[in-house]
Amino acid sequence: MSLLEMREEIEEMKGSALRLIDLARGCPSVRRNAEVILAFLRILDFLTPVTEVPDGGSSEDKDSVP
Amino acid sequence: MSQEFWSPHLETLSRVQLEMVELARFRELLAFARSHCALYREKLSDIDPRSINSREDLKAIPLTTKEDLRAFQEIGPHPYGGILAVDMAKVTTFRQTSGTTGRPVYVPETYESWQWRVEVWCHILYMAGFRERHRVFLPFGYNVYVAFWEAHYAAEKLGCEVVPGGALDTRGRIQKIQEVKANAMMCTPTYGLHMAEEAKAMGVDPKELGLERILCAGEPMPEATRKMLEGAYGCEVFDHIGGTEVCGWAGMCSEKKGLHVVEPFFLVEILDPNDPLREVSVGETGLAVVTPLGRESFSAIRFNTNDLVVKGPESCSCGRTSQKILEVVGRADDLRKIRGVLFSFKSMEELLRAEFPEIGEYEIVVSRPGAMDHVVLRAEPVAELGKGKAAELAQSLSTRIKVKTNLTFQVDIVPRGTSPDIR
Repeated sequence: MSLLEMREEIEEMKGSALRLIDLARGCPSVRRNAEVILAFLRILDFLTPVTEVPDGGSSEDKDSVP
Repeated sequence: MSQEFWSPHLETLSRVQLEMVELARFRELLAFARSHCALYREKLSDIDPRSINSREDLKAIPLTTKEDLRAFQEIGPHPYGGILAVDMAKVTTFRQTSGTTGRPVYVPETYESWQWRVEVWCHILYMAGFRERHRVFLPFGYNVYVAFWEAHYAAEKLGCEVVPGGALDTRGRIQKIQEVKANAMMCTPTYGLHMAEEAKAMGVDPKELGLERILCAGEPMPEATRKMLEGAYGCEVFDHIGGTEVCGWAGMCSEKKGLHVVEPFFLVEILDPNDPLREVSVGETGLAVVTPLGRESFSAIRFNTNDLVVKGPESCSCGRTSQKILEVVGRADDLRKIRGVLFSFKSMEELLRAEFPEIGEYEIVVSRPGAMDHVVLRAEPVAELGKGKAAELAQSLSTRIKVKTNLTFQVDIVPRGTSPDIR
């Protein structure tokens, strides 16, 4: 799996978490746990930074997880 | 995927990629801090984040000192004042500095930023070989100081079983390690040595406690002390460096030759203390200036940790590509002039641990009864000394101290149990 694919999954999950937070306005337990998920998704963001170097040319290989 | 790295893709990025990621995050942090934090609204008012495109450009940004934090803490809503960068309602974790150098700094974390700190610690622990199979004993007080709190949560996150050892005295902790069969521990180096002595006094060989690894934190640990702990417990001992304001920021890998900065979680510069515009070269000693890149609650931008470190290379036989620290020399404010001579307390620790294994706990007292500094080393032997041996040891110590530091110390060998209790 490449970093790019991971980042796409994470973005999708963030969208879901934000929707859940919105849906759970009247339910603190669901809302809070969804906020916790969002916090961890932001950490996942941190763990999967864009690493393609602009001038060196990028390839899927450079962005791959060993 | 390699089993050696917690984040294989991050821990083996090229230097070009690391710098690119760190500078991008630094710019984002700058922009955020300027708009959300009173301290940086003032300090960075002239800085355009878009102007920071290389490490050279960082020089334009003033360092943040502990005094800055103290001053801005007083301005604005209690307790964090102008250093807080988020709504107070989002703060979930309070910690503070020890206050040994002045008023304590209160450090706020949101749930997210605290989990970010825990994630950093996952890297530190994994690098030191902590795994799911470890039952980790933490003999610390679980109080307002950050100490091993992050390590506790990170060990849980790694899948270790964590045994909290607060509210027990040293003997109680030793008994608990035996009772639960803990196979890993985290402690300060001083406490680790003290615990080993206490175990022997209980008739327990520390090697038989069954610990496989120990991670140390909280104070500089000279290599001689680390080896002494390894010898005492018969296990591997790892170091790390961190601070309440910035989190743990470098850890030790299985090669045990210095520390790896946990990149790209931090942008770390090691600056010439006499010329802070210059980054030192490999092998040179400099001031560690640390920017945690993933925290919103409290932005510490180019924070001067006041830790003196020896810059290491950007490679290691473990395969990590992060910047290394070869040695933690000590606190810049721990260096002091005694009778005109620059003295490092850490050098005393190194001397005693390397050359005087018969010495256990000790204290150094500097006073000025007259015009000149007077220094007394009070040292406890680890075992009762025979007749005349105390005087012999004191003389030997005094001679070696003079050679090592060019200072004359009064050396008193005092009975065991005289030194202040250590926790």
